[in-house]
Amino acid sequence: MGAFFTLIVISFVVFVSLNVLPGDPARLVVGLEASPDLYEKVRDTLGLEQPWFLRYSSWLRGLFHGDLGESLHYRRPVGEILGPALGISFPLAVLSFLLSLALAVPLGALAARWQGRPLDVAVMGLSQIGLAVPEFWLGFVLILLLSLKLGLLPAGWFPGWSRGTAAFAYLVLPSLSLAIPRGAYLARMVRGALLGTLGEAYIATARSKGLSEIRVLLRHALRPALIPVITSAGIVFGRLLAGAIVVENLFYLPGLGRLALTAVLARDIPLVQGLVLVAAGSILGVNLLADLSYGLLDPRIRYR
Amino acid sequence: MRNLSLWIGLFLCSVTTAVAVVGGVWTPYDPLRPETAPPYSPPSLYHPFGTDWFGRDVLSRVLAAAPVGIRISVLSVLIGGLTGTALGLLSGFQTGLWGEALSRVLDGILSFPPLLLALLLVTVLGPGERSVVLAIGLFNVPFFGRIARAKFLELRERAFVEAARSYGAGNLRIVLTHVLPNAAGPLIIQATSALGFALLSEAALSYLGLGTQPPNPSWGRMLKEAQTYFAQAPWTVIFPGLVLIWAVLGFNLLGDGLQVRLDPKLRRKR
Repeated sequence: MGAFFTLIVISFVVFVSLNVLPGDPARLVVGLEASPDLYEKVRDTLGLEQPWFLRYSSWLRGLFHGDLGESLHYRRPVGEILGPALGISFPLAVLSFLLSLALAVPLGALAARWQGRPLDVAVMGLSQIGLAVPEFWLGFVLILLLSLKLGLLPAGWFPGWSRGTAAFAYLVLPSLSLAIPRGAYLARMVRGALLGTLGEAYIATARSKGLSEIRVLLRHALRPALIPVITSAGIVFGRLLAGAIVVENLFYLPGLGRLALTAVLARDIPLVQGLVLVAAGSILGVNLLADLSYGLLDPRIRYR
Repeated sequence: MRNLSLWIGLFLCSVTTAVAVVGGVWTPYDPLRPETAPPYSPPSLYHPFGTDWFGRDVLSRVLAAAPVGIRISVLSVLIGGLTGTALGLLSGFQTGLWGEALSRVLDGILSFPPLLLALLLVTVLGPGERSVVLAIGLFNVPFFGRIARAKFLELRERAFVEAARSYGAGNLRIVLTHVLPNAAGPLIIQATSALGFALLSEAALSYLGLGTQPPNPSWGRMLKEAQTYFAQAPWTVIFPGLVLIWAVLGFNLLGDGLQVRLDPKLRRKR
């Protein structure tokens, strides 16, 4: 309920700030050279003659009926535009998220197990570099190496899901460039959390029972250590969905991030509103899922 | 010498500062002058980083972009840090509805993809250096706000603050003489790492064409301009990126090193 209220407040702030400040959507639709007649007509059909609070209340009314309004730039219902974009951004976010976890968990665990040894120093050093690399520069380098030099993967653009699973190849490089900085961040979290649990008494118990080191590490230490990691991972995933603006632009992927740039530049208020709702909503939703997963990992905080 | 992060970070940051100072006063060529050599000349003795599409010297542009990038990130962290600290302390004072509302707003900013937030703000204010500073400053606010608020709530209950209060010290005096000096450590650590993130964000916004405007050089902008022909001239992409990574890495390592240095709990663990 609180989350829903936050969404409404966010949409209100975005709506007002885009309306009160300079920039005319109708002018951007017709262009600078258009005749005043045409300009007035467009203003009228876009409903821009009404004061902003009336437009906001009708937008809000539509929202409760599942109608997000019509895009000013594309002249199509916002829902119809967001759908296909989500069809690219969501798989991209999932793939990058899984890749970053696949990097973070083993590396973080290795670093924690051999804390202070050369392996730990190497992993932590690499993660510092990973954190400092801009994702779009990484994208350039990956295209240069894997796609232009070795010809392994396509360098950009998206053929559409009609191509089936072959289309996944087009998401590999973008998700790699998103996953490496995030994996570096999460690896540090995994290491820190594991160092905390490895000092617990039940770890000593497990070791004294004669369990193998790998079993102690994976089953007894890692599981409770994952809880703070999941909180951060949830934030990472939520931000990935509409936050891949730069990478989607670099790889010409028509996802939510690219749409966000277009919409904002065109002052397409209904479309921006829809995007903001999707972004904020997904972050709130992921946080909820993360909260629910704690019970699965640690029986002590199971919900009743 | 145990604190490796601190020393490497200090080294990287001093080089970055030196580069920014040099870039502010001297570059081998005029960074805006076209045709210092044929377009897309590969790296050579005269042009160590090669030239771009207009035949401009990439090294000169990388150098000239350094003070701009550093200025934007320092200003934005300063603005975000001061605002955030003030708001955090304020929300600590006001334990009632207002304090709660304020910390909710700060959390609200935090639950947004930073780049989307910056994108919205830059569109509203128009592209350019000023908007970028404000946008990056804005998403720094909640981080500082949280630290200041937590420190304030923690210290409020401590004996020496109560003693000060019993002498008749007002809230403002308590904040200035007791809370701020104790919160300075975590705030400085946050500010140092925030500088690295600010540099990355500035590069991303400039890459999207919303930051530094042409023909002025900026590390992110150079990558955008190089995008079309980067396969033929990889140096136009590689070098600006490497310099950016160097600078960000320096700030991040310095932040980590300071944390180990200033937090006695972490120091003992090592």
